[in-house]
Amino acid sequence: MSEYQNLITQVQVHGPLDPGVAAEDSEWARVGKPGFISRLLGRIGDAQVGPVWLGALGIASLVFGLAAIEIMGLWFLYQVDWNFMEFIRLLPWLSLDPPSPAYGLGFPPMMEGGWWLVAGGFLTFSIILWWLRMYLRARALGLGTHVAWAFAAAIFLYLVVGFIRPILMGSWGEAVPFGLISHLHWTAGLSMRHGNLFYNPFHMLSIVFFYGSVLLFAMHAATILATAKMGGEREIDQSTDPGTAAERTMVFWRWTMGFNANMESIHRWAYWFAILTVLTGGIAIAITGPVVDNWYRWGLKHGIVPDYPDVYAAPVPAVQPGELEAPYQTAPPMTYPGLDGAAGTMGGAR
Amino acid sequence: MAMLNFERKYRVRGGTLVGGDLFDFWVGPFYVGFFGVTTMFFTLVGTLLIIYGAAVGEGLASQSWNVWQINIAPPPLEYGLGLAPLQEGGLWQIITVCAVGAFVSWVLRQAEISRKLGMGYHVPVAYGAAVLAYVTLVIVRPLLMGAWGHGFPYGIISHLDWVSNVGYQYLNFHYNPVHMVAATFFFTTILALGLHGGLILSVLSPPKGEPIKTSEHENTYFRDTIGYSIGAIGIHRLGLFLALNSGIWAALCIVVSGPFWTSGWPEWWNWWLNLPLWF
Amino acid sequence: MRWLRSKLALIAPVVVLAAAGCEVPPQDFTQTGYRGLGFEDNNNRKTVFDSAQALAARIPQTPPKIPKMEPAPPGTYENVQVLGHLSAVEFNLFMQSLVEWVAKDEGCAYCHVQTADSVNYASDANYTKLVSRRMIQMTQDINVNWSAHVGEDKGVNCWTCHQSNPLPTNYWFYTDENQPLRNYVDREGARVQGEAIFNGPGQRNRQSINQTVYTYQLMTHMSNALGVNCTYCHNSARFADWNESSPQRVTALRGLRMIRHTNMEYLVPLQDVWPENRLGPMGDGPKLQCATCHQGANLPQMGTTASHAAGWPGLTQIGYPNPPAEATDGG
Repeated sequence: MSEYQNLITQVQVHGPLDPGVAAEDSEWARVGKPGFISRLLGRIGDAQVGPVWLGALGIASLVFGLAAIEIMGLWFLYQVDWNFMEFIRLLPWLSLDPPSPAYGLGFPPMMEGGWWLVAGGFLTFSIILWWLRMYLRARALGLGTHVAWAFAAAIFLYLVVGFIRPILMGSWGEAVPFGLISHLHWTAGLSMRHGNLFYNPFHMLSIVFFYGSVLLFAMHAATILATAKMGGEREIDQSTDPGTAAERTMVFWRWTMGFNANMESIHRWAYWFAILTVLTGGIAIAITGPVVDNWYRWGLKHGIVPDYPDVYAAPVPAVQPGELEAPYQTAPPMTYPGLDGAAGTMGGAR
Repeated sequence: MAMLNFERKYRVRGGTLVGGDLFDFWVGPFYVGFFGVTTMFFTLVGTLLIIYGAAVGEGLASQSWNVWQINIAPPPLEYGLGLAPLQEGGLWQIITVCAVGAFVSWVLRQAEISRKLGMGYHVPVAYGAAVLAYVTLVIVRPLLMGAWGHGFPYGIISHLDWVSNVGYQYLNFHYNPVHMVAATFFFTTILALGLHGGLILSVLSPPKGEPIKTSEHENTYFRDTIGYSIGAIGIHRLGLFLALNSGIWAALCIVVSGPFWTSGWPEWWNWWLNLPLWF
Repeated sequence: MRWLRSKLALIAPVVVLAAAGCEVPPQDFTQTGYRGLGFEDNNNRKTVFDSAQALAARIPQTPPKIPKMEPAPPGTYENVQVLGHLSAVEFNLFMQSLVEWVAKDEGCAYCHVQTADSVNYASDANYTKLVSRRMIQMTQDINVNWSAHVGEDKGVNCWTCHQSNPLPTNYWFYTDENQPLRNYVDREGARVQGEAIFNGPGQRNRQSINQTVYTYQLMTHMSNALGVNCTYCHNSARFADWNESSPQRVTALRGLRMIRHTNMEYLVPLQDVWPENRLGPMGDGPKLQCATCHQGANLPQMGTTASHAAGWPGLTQIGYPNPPAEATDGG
């Protein structure tokens, strides 16, 4: 393509570093002034890195967050008997697990889920402190608090899976383990336990907003980049004083699909799609278990399950009455047959 | 009227890829163009065929107009890469052709509109990535696997059943490393979208009594909170990068499942677990 | 070259993934349910071919089968307890097959006591003889009482599991981590999904996500043992629903019950018989699982008749002792 597509900055211009807008509260917290230039970052975005606001809230949040991560890391090391090579090798499979459901909502022994509770508590506190940071920094700069409220929606989902739903279900054991592979097991397990989450209508909604968000960001980002040659990326100015860039973005979509947003409202679309993803997702999880036990059966009742043709032959030999009845999974056995004398003598003819 | 109050000056001739002046006009707010005609054709035919399929109870034991249950199913695997009888998946095949035709037409129509407006081609390219994902699912992967029946059914609930079962064919699809990459891109896209939308709105909708803020405020907010602000053009480059990679790696993750891997995905990780360098 | 370096970030992961193990198309895909819903059995052509080749190379050389004969008269043998229903000819042929099936390199002396100049066939001094007797009873039990799983006219023989070696394939011991495998021994039930929409009084499904993950691990274990995937038996949108499951799922449930029975009845009670070197890290004796017979194939030994019991009355009927010569009533 002989035309410049504005994907990489070809010529970087570096002026004096930007000290930033003065904050309403004190300036002592802005550390790293005036920041530094990264030419690598400057090829795709702004070249200036820093300064960062390191206030009391931020420091506290980092401390608790790092503590949580430390606990997870040390637990992983403990799991592999402090063998560093095994730690690296097995890292995706290592896991700090919540307590067994047998402990209910009580505080379990440290080595049997207690550390999970502590790490989870630290992490939650850290996240809430970070939320406060996002909120207060916006207020200090005279901005709206929209970013903080979007973050709050995400925190809602986090609290649902790790706190609210376990409480409603009566056991910490229902919460998500800290581990790469293990948290995926949790996801699969939740779906399997409750009759396949695809049939949960709030889950469907969440996925709609999920894919929709990706679609929207692709649409919006591509539109802005396509009009960058006319200053389309200057969205604030294009909102308050629309120029030809804003006009062309609107006209493009109107001609394509018959309706359009404007430079401001597209961000409302974007904002709400992202928020609704986690909001409806949180609702989906919160009602899975406490309210609905089996989503497939729910789907059957509400007539959404297709009636596929039968293609299976009957089992050979035929099923006997009662043959397919099996108990629920029982509690783990406390004995080891063969080891505890449970079946110590040899049976059969002798 | 169908036009925005500044739109008239943009309605000029030219920019078409095919057909010259023949279809260079608007119907209401919609631009037509040659590819507008082909889009309408494929869409109409495809939709009518879906309705026909629903009418004859395709893919179901008993006919139903229930929008959740309608199921246009691909052919059984035994027909391989041939054309199947209409009632045995042939309908699905024709509808797929219409879909590909409609989607490609849409891409090219977006390109024509971009040309007419003097914009870059980023939008049709971005949309093309999504079309590529669709084509991967219903054409590329079935081709590599030797049968059109590997495509997904066209039905609201039935396509979810397909996703679920195809996932469990690999015992635990979460272990697919390419799926992990794609999922990470998906979640990061949502994060970035929430941040970007929120930031712009926080500047444009400040608290009562405050004036609208500036791009300096945008930069200061993110430098303060996370130490870096990617900037106005940067966030859109990043957003497009994240969104397109979500789709591309998703298409990749399904194209390797089957043609290039037939065991369970947990087993794939054995190469790492059994590396000779662990001592 | 510069282009290559600039694209390194894109190329490197692809190379890593490819090196990690890619299979090359074409492969074999079999539809196992209604079209378009993702019910498929996926097989790597080369792996299947290699397995078949390897199988053909290790088919045991057993004596030919003969028509059924009358049991040997009382007193023919000393201390024959489970093969009294065989004639002397059948008995000898069975013993020869046993060597081929279980102790090809070790020979008769693996079970029987061999002195410098003779073999004491009757002696039970070797633990291997005690174990073998129970194994024969176990196989008879499986073929007679569990034909719903192993097939009315097929069944299994000793070679199915042992593959000409004294130690069978895929035996296992207790460890801290294999709790899901307790479903092969004494843990009843893997059901976690409820049958009602809502959880309310009278329908309290108290299964946890934890337990669901256990069942999932068990099922994954079984899938690997049989070389099949979840859709071979289940419709994943409704795992628990028997109406939407394939007939293979019924067969699998029968198989699960069969190995629970065989482990508890035959393997676990041998605890006192095993010598030290046959015990696991927790001191328990070996137990069997699906993979012991199936070894990664949906039919043991890919369905070859060399693995069947048909034609071996020593294995297709429940045995009884060959009574001493002075016994007047049948025994």
